[in-house]
Amino acid sequence: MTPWDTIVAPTTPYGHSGVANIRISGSDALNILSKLSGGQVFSSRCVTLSSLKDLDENFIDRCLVTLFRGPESYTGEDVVEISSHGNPAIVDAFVNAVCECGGRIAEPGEFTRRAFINGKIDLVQAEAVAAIIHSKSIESSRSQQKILGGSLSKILTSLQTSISNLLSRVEHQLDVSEEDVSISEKKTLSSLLGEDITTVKQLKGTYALGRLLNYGATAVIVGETNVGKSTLLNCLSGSDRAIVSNIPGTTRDSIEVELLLGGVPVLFIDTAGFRTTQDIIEKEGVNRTYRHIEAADLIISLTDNPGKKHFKKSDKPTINVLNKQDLRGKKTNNGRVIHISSKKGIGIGVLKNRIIKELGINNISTEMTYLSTGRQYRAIKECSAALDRANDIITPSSFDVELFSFEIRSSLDAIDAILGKTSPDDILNHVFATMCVGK
Amino acid sequence: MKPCSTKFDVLVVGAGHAGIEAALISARRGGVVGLITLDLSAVGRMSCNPAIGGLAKGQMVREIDVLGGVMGLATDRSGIQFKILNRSKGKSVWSPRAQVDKRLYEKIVASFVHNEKNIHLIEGEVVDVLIENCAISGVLLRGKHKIHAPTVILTCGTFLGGLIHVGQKKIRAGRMGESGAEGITEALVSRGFLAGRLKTGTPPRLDKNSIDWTKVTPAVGDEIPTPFSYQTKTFNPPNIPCHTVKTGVSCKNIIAENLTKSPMFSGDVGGVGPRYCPSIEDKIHRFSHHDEHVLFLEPEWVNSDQIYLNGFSTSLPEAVQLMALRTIPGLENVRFFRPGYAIEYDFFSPSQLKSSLESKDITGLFFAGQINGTSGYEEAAAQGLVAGINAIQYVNNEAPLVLSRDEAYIGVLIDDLITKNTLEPYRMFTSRAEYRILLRFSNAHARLLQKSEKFSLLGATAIRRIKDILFGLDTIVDSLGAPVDPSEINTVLAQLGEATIKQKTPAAALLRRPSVGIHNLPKSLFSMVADTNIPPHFVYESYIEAEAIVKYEGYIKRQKKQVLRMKRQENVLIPPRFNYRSIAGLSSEAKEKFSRIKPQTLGQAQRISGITPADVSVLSVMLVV
Repeated sequence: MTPWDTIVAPTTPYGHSGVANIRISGSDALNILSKLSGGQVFSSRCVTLSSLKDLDENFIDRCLVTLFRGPESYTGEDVVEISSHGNPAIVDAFVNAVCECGGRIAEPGEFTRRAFINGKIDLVQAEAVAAIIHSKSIESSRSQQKILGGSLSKILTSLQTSISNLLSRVEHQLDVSEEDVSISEKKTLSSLLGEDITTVKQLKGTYALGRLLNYGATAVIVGETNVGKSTLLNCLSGSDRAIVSNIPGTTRDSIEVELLLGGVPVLFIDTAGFRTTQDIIEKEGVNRTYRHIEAADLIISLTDNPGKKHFKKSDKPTINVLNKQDLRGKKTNNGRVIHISSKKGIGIGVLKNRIIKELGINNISTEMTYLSTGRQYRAIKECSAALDRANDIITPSSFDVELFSFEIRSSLDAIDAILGKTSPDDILNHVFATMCVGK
Repeated sequence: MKPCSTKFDVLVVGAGHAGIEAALISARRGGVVGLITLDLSAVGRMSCNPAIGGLAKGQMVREIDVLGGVMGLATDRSGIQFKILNRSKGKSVWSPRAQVDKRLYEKIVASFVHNEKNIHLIEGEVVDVLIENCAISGVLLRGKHKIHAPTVILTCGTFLGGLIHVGQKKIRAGRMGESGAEGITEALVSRGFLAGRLKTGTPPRLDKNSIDWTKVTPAVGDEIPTPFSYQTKTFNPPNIPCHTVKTGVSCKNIIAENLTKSPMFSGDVGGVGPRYCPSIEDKIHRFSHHDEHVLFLEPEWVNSDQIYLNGFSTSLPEAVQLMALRTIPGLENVRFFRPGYAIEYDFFSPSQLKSSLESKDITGLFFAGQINGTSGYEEAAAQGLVAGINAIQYVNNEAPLVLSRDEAYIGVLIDDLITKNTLEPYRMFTSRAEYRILLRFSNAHARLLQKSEKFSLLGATAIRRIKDILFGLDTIVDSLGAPVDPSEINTVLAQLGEATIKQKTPAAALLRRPSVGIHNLPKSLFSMVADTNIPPHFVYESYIEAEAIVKYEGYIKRQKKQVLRMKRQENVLIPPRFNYRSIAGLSSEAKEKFSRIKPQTLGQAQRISGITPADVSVLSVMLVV
């Protein structure tokens, strides 16, 4: 591929709709537009009505065209956005026409990759673009918008600076000073490290919520057969997704429904009820139930009789729910158990609120910045672990400066993995820019 | 001089630390060498401080020793005080350093050169190089004599366009009292080589008899001295103390008031100076909040009347230097043999070189030492050695010796030189070596012996000696696998405040405990070691190294993983004619540098100075698409 060839792709889903959008980006975008429009003149960032034809002068569509001259465009190159009528045939005709003029069809993510290569966004921001497109709620999208605006990059950059300052101090001890590390310097190193540890811990803590927002959570409904798990699933989702009957063991395979609770997509899984059975299909269903429990964020344990025991075989967060309230009439007051009737829809609001609370969804604020991808989280976890090890090395009785430095460097490497690499020279420059040289 | 009839393989221009290592290794590997110097009586001169080694440099001297250089041996024979620096800070940054008798050092090195029959000393000034079809073919001396050879190694030091400053006084010279060389810079620049100016300074030399020795603080060397060379068999060097004094507020004020009289500040010196070995006026100016700076009084040779004032490099006028120093307790009546001065000189941008130190444009032409913008004897010697080795490789049409960043400080040095922009004299530091846990002074033999053998850099006896020492080390490490009985160790553990053991425990497991040292383990473990035929100082060092191997095991493993990751980047090749200018996301600085330096791999590209993380990630994305 030559770096700056011109690429084209529809940016709206394929299918019939009111409007479809086609994006062209690259050094030839303007030329191509000129060919399609028969030499019409466009000014940058103005919406212009235009009748576009292919190279054989065949009319394609009358559409709205917006030209963004690079570098003031999404990709940083010349970009043409065509809003045509939402017909796949028209969209195809445009894409073909552009290709005939020397363009080619863009690969997935290529516009964003070009934005990155052209310095419009950094890696963290590029990740946010993908997340916004795939986010399932407005809350999730808002949180990613903040990251795209640079909020997470800013936090990480300041952490990176802080850790490199610490490293500079350590290297100064190793490289310039020929004396032992003084007690006061050791204290300073220790307290600087403490600050970084706190920052990293906080950041690491944000992933639980960031993950919720972006990937959602899984709640698995468990209980003995015939306590009404499938009815509860249907009631929560307002559908008759699962088959219900009064025959124990009706649900054999797991059934999944996704609901949006407080902006977080929560996947509810209805499972085969626990009982000893000879039916091999039902047996496999029960095995699956255990696997779902393993992967779940939350367990909803259901019984239909106050005398029956709740599921206790997992240490995952669990909500105990007593079903068939309508059959018993009055509540036996036990604050920890939620009384509902799936059939009549009683107590479902209380249950939903409890789920929101248990999953921590109520703690989400779109004003905050969260780590939102596994890649970011793993890197921060690594960074945090290295800083903790450094903290173990700097003790009142012993201090191996070299190993301390190694751990600080490892923590920096982890952050660099998110943002990019810090070269040893940056560290050196810092040492000598800010500190006194001994001998 | 007469036209030369000898048929040379290698011509070495300059007989400083780079030149002699280059000449000696070339000659020992069978090359016929012409060593051309301005002054036959100044071979191997120590022009600045009377010391070898130090932080990161000590490690390099060890590497030089394994790779067939003479610096370590000469230091062991002329040292008057040996000390390991950074002893309290982790074994991989321990750095040996020696005060040496400068005169003796020079004499020893000169004798190496004179005794080498393959070296022909030639007095003269090289004014141009001879080039045929982009290949070197010899040099032109002043007086129009030509000398021919298929390889030339330029090690001209600070002599090219040397200009000395003492206050407002300027003297054209190479070193104080020695004339400079004028011609070759212009000749090389006219052939397209990129040159620049650098500056460096040297402190005043004091008269021993003018110092009040009752007011200064002595600083002695290690009780058990550590030699540099694996070839040193008997080692009983003297332990002559140095002394320290501290500058105070009045000294600081005098210097601050006279800053404008320093040519470094008045703008008279054109070159860029080292941040790492800054002048005293630099230190006072930049760190005005520090009232005290430590200065070292170092004898230049045994019973020397001349004292080197380490830490007070300066280009202030002589009267100001004296006035400032006389405020220091002990130096109230100090007199100079010679004031401090600054020197500016020409250098050639080392980014024009390959990692073999051969020019990218003219084959057979090598550059080594200060001419490449480095400072320090050790940096110079290391380059001279590598250039010398590779000149012979070139003559024999064989692949060059290239050391990587994870196997030697010398590898770091050369990789930095060819990828970084030289803005100031380059000095080695441990922090330049990102894999320094692997680069201990005490494992230089383990790291480099194989290469040394492969390139035949040492004689059979020398190799045998190093192998014996390595065998001793292995014996100690193996012994640490043996179990220790509670009765043998519990008393010691209790004394150290460590938990005692209930059953037999491997010695290595005990040694991994932070407060347990190898000397705390029962002597009976190491009965095998007594049978080895190794000089006692290397037995002692092997214990230290064995302790490092065990204590750092986890870190060494992690560092090796990092090396693997780096090697992957090293394997991402950049096409030779890659068009950086078309990548909008690269900063204009990155475009300019990539286009000029033409890095061969992504690894090299990311190490180029001024290249930002963003530039590297953009480039790496470009390379995978």
